[in-house]
Amino acid sequence: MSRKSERLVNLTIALLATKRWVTKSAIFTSVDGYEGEPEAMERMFERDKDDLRNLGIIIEVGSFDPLFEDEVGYRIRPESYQADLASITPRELSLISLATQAWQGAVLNSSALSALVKLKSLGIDSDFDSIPAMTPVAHISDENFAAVIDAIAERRVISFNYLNIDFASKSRVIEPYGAGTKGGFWYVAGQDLDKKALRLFRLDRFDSEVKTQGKAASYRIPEDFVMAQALSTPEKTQSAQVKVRRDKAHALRIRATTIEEGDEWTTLSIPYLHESELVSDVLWHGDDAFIISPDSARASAIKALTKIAHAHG
Amino acid sequence: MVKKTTPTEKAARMLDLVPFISSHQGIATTELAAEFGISVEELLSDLNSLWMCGDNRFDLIDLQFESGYVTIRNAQTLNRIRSLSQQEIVAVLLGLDLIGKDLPEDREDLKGDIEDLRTKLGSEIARIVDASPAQDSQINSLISQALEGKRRLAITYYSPTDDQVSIREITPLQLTTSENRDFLIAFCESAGGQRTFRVDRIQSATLLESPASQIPTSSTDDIRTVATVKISENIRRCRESLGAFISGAGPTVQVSTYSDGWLSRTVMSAAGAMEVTSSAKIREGIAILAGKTLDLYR
Repeated sequence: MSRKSERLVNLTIALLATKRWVTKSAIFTSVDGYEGEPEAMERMFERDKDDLRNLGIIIEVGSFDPLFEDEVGYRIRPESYQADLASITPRELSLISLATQAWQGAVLNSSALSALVKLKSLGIDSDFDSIPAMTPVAHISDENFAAVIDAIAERRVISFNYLNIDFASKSRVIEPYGAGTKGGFWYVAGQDLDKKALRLFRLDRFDSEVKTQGKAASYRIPEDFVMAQALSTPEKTQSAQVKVRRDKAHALRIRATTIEEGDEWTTLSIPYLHESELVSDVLWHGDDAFIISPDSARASAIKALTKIAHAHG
Repeated sequence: MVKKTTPTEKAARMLDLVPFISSHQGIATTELAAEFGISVEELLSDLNSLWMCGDNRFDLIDLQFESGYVTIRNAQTLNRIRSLSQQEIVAVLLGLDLIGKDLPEDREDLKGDIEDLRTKLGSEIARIVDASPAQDSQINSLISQALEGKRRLAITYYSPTDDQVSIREITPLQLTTSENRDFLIAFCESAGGQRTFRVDRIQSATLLESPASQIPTSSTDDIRTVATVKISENIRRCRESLGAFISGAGPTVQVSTYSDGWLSRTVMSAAGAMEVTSSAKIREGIAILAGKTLDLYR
């Protein structure tokens, strides 16, 4: 098994060291590890090329003389193999080091670690004294997240089962555009191929493994797609008047834009986006809070309370 | 725990070992293994394989590591840091994002560094990932310090169930994770017993000089209530609001909770989509609360 790794390393050295195209037959005679029947070596070489590509090592194919259909040659360009990290400062290295700690015990831990090793190979010192004590945590152990990141990198369509609003598991097919986290939840944004629209999916609502389908590079991420925007909460344009008991309903008070203290009851103005969410949030506080306006929200609250009282009475 | 390495992963590590050793000549094998997150045996196996590699069999990489310290010569071709993979870049950028959004206001310098790094590592990828921390990473850092140094913390904690902001002195005992969230199990001096706190609801924390208190071993065995809840609409949202405390696959679920108050608030805020079918005591409590609330609208 280590023969295979040695062969991959030797192949990398041979193709990286050369300025000229190296033919397949030259590879088979000069690179250690290629042996056996010609067809067996061919298959070996094809697999090795794929394996190196999966590591992000790009093998170029070309020929010595474009005018003649002679044997093609291979090489790895040092510029494409090598990372361009020359300008990283000690303080930046410390920030990266701290950033990778977020993945301890989480799904991208090995990627975070290998990224850090590469950066430390620059041989520059870190400067931890100049950054504050922080412990970022990424908290995602879901393997689907890694699968989504890989699919995005390769621009591959993915499919998965997703728990819809009725808790029914439905198959979804998307072109994934981006991923991120907000409020403790992880999301994937992408073009839903059935609904033909950009949709946001919560990873903890996935009800199956993520599967890729079709070829790599099968779509483009629109120029104007920005994950931070996809995750941003729309501005709360509506406002409700809510009365809350003195020293109660703290969760509503901190959201209020105006607070008018009274003897027993305090009047709050609360911005909201969806009326149903407003009603839920006020009902949480039981008889410590009630809605004054708008009328529709007030009516929904009364309807809900009547239903609850009836169901439990 | 240790995952079996594939030959391709091993090859990748061998390629990455070369520039790392070159810039850390004479590094101890134990330290090198730790940097790569592997065992010393795995490292030695990697080094032995690497030692067999080279431009051709007369020009091999010159590796010395018998002494327990590693040096490398004659590896010019591979002495390059490999480009970062997309997954590596994503991991770093998301981590940086979590830090950047939690930095103190006055650290514009570090915010600038993070902006620069986004460009240096790849602004195309920076555009398609985004992370906002669910909890304050400076509070996390204080909790770790308290746990390590066996010290107390003073915290301001908001409890939605009790609708109260309280200031408590606690001795952190253990940090656990459930459903992507951190929970801190601690001995609460104010309550005189063991309590569980959701870390994202800790609004502020201060590390105290006083050492952790002797924790009485008799735990305050909370009494769990088990209730049956029937969900009639918005099943996904209702189930999610009942969180980690439910069992049962369909619209009828068993909920076990330490707090009847929490359950009745959750049922109220479901606005009629949930009905508690047992116990009778909880049902009655909810009916009374709904009635009293309804009176406010009359």
